[in-house]
Amino acid sequence: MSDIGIKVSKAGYSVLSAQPNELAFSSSYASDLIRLSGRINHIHTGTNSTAALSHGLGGAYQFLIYDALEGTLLPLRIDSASPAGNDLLVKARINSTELVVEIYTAASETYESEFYYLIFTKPM
Amino acid sequence: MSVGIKVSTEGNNVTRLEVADSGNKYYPPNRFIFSSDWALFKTILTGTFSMSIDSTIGTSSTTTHAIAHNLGYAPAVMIFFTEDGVNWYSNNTDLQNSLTTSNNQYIQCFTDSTNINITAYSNNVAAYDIDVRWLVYGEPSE
Repeated sequence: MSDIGIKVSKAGYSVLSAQPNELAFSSSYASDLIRLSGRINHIHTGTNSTAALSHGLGGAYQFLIYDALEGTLLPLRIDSASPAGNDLLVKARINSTELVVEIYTAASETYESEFYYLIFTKPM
Repeated sequence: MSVGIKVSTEGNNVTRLEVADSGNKYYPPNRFIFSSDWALFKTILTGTFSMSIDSTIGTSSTTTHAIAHNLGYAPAVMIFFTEDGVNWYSNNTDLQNSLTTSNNQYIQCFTDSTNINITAYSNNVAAYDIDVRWLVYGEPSE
């Protein structure tokens, strides 16, 4: 069968010869579709806590999550500093029922945090 | 002449322009499901593999797994990995939660013009295995 599909190139590129990064759209490649998005508000107390969102999707789907601390969006990091200046670790995982954010601080403290998440339609 | 394809969100006219404070007319990006003015975040390569990290009790090591993409530019990438096959972590994750450098294991990912490189750093931990899902997007990372 011949190679058929739909391609839309960016301005300035020929759709007949454009590379993947020169195309605005190509039916050869799936684009991320956002199935769920939102914010998780959480109050961290002590040295470790978890914030869980029940997504109800019935599977583990690809996701992005950002720390929305103090009005900015930050990718989760291995090394950082908490509002009190303590060493901070924030990581995220997904399974078939929940999106879970795990927070660890080197010393006990209490602070309010917020996470912005996107869950896509593609499964793991 | 401006040509292209646009699909607006429900209730919005696909041809209606807004006027900026500067007086210039423009199409607000958040009004569109799709517009050929802006590239979609296309996944052009994806795959999985398993990676074994040897025990580093009493010492430390770095294990790197390289995947050739041969795109000629460093693409934007994302990885997810799991130890138990149930919980999938996003990249750049420390699995030990020790908040110290004396006992930890973390997974990082970086790309260049030929490879995706997934690096597992281990310091004074037992051997472990992970399954990795990797995705390459059709946009350069630089």
